[in-house]
Amino acid sequence: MKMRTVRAIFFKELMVMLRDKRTLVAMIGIPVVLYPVLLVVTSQVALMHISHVEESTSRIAIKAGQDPTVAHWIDALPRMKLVSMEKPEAALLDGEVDAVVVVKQRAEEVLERGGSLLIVIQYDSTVPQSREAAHRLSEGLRTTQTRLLEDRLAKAGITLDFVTPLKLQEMNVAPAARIVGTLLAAMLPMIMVLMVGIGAFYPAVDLTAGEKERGTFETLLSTPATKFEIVCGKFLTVFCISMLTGLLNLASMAMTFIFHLSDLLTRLQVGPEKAPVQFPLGTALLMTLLLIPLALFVSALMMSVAVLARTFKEAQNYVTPFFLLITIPAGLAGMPGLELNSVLQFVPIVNIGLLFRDLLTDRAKLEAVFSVLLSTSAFALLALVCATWLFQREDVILSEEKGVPLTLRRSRIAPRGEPTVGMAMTLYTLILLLIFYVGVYAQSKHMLGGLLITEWLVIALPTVALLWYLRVDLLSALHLRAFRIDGALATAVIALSWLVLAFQLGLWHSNVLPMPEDMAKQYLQLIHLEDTSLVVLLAVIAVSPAICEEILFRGAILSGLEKRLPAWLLIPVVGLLFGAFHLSIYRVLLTGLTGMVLTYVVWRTRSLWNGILLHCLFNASAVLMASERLPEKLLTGLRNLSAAQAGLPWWLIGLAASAMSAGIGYLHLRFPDPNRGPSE
Amino acid sequence: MIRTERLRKVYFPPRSKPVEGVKNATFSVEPGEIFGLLGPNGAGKTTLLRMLGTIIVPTSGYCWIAGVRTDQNPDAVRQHIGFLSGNTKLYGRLTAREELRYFGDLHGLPKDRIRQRTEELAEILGMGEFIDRRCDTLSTGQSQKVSIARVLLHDPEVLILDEPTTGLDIMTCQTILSFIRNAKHYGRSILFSTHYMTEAEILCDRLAFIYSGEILATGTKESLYEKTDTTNLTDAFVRLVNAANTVPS
Repeated sequence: MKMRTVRAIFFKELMVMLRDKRTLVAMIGIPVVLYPVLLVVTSQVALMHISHVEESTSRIAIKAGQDPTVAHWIDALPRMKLVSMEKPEAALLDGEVDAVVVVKQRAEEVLERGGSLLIVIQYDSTVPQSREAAHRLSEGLRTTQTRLLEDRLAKAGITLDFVTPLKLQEMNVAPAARIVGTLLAAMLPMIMVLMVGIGAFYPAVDLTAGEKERGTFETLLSTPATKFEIVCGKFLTVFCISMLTGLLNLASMAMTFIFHLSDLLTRLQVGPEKAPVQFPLGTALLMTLLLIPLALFVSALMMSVAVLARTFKEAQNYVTPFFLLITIPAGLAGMPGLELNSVLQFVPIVNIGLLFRDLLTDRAKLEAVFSVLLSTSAFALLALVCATWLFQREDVILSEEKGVPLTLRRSRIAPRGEPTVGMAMTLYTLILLLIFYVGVYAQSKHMLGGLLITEWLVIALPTVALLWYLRVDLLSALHLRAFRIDGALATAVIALSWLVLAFQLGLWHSNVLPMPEDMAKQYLQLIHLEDTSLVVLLAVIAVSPAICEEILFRGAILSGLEKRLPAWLLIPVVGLLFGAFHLSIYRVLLTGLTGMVLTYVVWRTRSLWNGILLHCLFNASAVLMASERLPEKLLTGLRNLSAAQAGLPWWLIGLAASAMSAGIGYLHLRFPDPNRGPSE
Repeated sequence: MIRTERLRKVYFPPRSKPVEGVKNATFSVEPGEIFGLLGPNGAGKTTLLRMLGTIIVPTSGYCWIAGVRTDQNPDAVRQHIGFLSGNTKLYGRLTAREELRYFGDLHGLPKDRIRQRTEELAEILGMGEFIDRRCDTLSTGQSQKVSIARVLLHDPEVLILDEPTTGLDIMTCQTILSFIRNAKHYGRSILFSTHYMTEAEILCDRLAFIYSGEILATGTKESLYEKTDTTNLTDAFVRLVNAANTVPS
């Protein structure tokens, strides 16, 4: 990939988009103007309305026959005006009076004999003035009631406190910042998703279907720029505009709220005191970070949808329903009571929305941030791979037929020796998501059975099936042809020495970033299943992951990436993909490093068998050590070795490191450099 | 410079039978030669040229451009080609100058070289008065001049021109035809399709007749006259088409 070409396409597309008024309006106009105007207008209207209601005088009609007592009481209340009406109920419904007070007994008489006087307050709940009048009447008459009660009690020689043993008072102590957070949290997620979508919408349509319609796509295709470079350049533009729109919205909204909301809250008397509203910097940064995968996801998806259309209008018709579709999960995030649980963390858009909300109300957990970032990035990658794949297809790019121009028949696919980067990444994300939806669920139902299902049906089967469907040569893509006994021996040495090193690294790691207790317990439980025989345990935890995970990582993914990346990048990338695959921030580092060791071995020896061997030895040792089924002497020895806090003794670490270097050195010297090809 | 061997393209329209757009096309174009591809609309000219331009991939068969096989290294092939067709339009929101700078960038030309070539081409093609105007405000003739400049910018060894004079006025037509002659003079291989027989008669060193995806005949115009016993290209073409229709291939 030539960076100059991608840069040229990116800057040109950006310039072309910025020369279009429609982009500017969606990107800058809406956020900069909308929020201040919206907030100022709504708050002004609300305040005006409230003060209007509060300061007005309530018009009250009384139906009390000839008795003036109640009328006197009401007349003494502030902002009350008595009016006389022929038909008070009808007048109330017509809005001529705000409330009607009905008294059927003679007040004087009832009070005299110590009875209880029934006063009915009629009001119209749909009219704010009427509600206010009813409220004022009840509050006012309650004071009168207390006065009358005190008089009666005094006659009986009892104090008021005697008959009210409890005095209750409610007080709202929520700090203003939290009130603002809650308010924002209800609206912001939806608005952000919408804005990122609006930002991406127009460029996604214009740079794909628009370009097809204007007849410039073929011009671009006739240059030395590759399709991948073209997709990258265009995608970067869509992403940038979408991201800019999101950020501008965030900034504009933050400014509006900071400058106006605290003021508004005080005037509405929601908060207990006038406190400056702050938008914590850390929260803002995290939200920006989360905006990136969201914008990546939405941009790639919109581009994939839009490229299927032939004209701008057609693309709008395709993208609009999709746009509405993504606002539904965004709206869900605003629903009260919906928690960001372990399943929702992996539902795209909903997860970002809920995490935004949790960040704003200060409830977000590190683990959740990690999962949401990971899963959204995975979805984004999948969408991008999809867009790239569509751009590679001439029936899509040069479609002159009506309708969606796609065939998925296997016979139309050209056979190939190894998968492309796109295929490898599709497979990775697909399986990551499958694990999440199928694997985790199956394991929660039955630990060992679930693991087996995950390994064979979720990891191995889709890998082999997809490679078969795409007509990739399985033997060569999965590195199944080569096997040398000296390679296997060197691998075994590497496996055992890495086990020691990994054990020590694990100890250090748990000092820095300790695993939460319940999570650690869960892992231990797995290996401590007392009623399961060791053979079954080894088969499920050591052998089957070794085969299935190696097929995916050191088979399909390695062969997809190895021609595109230099070795120094290839090995960490495949390793880290393997690490991230374990879906836990506490395991990324160790599994990632193990992944790199595995990748190096398979890459150098060109044989998946060595990867399976290493993986199997590594997992099996972990099972044996933890399940305490090793010979007693060995176990005691191991325990003594690792008893000290610092971990293993230095001589053992040194020995392992030298053995590992020797193993890797052997592979390096005795196996040809895969980049040079077999002939040299 | 251009060589094709049994080039074939089959389309699979949805819900109907596969269509053979180009059938076993074999021909070659040498440096300093103008090769005309003649045929009615829908004969497969554009499909054939698109395959040579690596815009689409042949179903079977091979072609070589400047010694590089198109299916092996399509991106390198495009470095040697100037490709112009009715479907290669200009970006309306860019000025002619920006347009040329963009395509120069995509061809990996250094900045000074792009500037220098732009000045040269503007001078020769007479684009001075509109070079800083946005392309969506240009007339058809002016746009075609900018397109020609785009094709020539990186000084390609091979020019693939799909009906470059369609819809142009006489003066612009002349400018473009003289450009093609000039390119021949500089040793470029020019493959050029048209359905104007007179244009082909004046310009082309060799010709190929294409009809419903099939190349009916290839050769100099004299050899084609001789073969069909006619005196002009239109008659020669009609005779060949009639012969092909009576003997189903």
